[in-house]
Amino acid sequence: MIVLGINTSRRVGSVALTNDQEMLGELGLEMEYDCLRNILAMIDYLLTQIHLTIGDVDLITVVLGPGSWSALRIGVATAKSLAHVCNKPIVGVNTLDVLAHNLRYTEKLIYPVISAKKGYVYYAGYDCANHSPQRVTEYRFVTCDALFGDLRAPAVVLLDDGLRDHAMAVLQSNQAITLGTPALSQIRPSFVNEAGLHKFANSGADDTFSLAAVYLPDAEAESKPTLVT
Amino acid sequence: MLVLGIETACDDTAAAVVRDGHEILSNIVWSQKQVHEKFGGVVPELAARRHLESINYVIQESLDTAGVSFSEIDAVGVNCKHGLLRSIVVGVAAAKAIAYSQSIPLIGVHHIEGHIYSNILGNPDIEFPHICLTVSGGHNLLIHVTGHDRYELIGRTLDDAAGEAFDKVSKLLGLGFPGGPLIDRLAQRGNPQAFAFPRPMLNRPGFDFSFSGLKTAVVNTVNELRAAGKEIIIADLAASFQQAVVDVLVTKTLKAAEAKNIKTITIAGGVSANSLLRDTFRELANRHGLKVIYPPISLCTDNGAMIAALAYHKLKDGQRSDIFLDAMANAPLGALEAVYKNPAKSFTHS
Repeated sequence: MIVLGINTSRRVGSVALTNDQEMLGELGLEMEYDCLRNILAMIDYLLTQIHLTIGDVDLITVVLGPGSWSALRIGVATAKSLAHVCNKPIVGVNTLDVLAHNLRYTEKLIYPVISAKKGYVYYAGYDCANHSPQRVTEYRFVTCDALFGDLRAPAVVLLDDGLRDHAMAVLQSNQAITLGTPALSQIRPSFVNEAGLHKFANSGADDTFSLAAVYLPDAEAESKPTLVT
Repeated sequence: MLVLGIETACDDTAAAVVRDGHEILSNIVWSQKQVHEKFGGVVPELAARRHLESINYVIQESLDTAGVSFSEIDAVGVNCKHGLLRSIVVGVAAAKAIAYSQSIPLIGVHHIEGHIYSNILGNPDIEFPHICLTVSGGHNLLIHVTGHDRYELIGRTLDDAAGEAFDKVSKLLGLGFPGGPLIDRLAQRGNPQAFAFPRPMLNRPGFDFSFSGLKTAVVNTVNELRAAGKEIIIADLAASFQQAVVDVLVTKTLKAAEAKNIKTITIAGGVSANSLLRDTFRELANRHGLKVIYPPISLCTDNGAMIAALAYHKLKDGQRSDIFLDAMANAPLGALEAVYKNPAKSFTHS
């Protein structure tokens, strides 16, 4: 089964092609401002190099978020429309669930963390005892300092770029908590496919038409809107 | 040739299938009015979220209504050059994916140019040059249209667009959102001479508009009436305000036609649905021997049909976009090549 994975949830956007879980190709690019410009071209480049066409893709996986609002929507709209036109199944996955796959062979708990506005973070804890990340906490939206209080050691924390300096200062004294390196804290699009395949096998495809992005519970958008008129 | 047109400039998710640039096979608009009316205006982030959730339904509905499948579509047109950026990118991403999957041409077009084509669509034999007044909540322009893809901007609003003034006054009078149709309806039982509101810019040379001062005049009048404890007849306020807006729009447009010695005027955009504006234009056109063209109500507000019609003409002219098509919130109208040869960082994320 040829799987196309799309991730535009963070600063580095990426796409992957796998045959089930076997990697065919992966492409990642810093494209904070150029997501719409680049994402389809990246998909096309990968397909072309591997001598496939979009019609050969059997399953599309996409990161639904949370993440950067506009970029996220560009990735999800692209994935939904490719699935719609080509009549292929689509599976959406949560950003934190994918990040947990980066470090699955450890006895420690894994905490992927995404920074939000105003000192808030979004995180969840994962247990990898049976080599498949099982979420053992709620998805939580708390202040950065509350996060450091919540961590259950021994743990590995996978941090967003913006939080690294602050976390190093706070966590330095705690030997039982390790900070993942920046490369380990990036979303790997092959893992988007892995998480997507897992979800597809367990609960089937998502509905292409109604599939929505996952947003941080940012109060600003819903209750204190900036009006155009 | 069948063109699928996609438009997500503001708060309407729209898609249409148009044959040969003038025959509308379907024109589907999913309005988000209910999402935004409680806020009294369009909330950009909410608009973008709803676009993502409805875009594929709307596109499928446009195909079903036209009785065609993706494989029968010959090209995809999409607005990528004017509107709320986070709304536009959703439509552009969808359009790119469709054109790519079907290996058919993709044509990125300008929203306001689309509105100009909402009149050319129903009148394929329209005369060039003509003067087009495009007026909505987001734009208020006078354009000298000298041919397909040939425009000269001769006037624009210096502050608020007329539709924006309608929305703000509607909110002030407690009528709701969007303001245009509400004020239009209420004004029909009001006295347009009850209040002598200013006609901004009317006696200035040139063809620019300004509606911010008029809106303030309405606010001041309401405050004075309240302070004096007088009864406020909202219908009279609405009628007098609407009359002032229409007087300015019509007079400036006629002056522009006269200056350019042009006999055909077109009006487009959401405010072109206003009944007083249409009636006044019709009457003056008769008196001055002018031809006035306006679109059916369904093509006044944002729609995919105008985008499809415009894309058809561009494609016939040999224009098409590539896989790197990007979106801009406010691209200049007219020759845009220079802009795209130096692609600036064109949007920022929230």
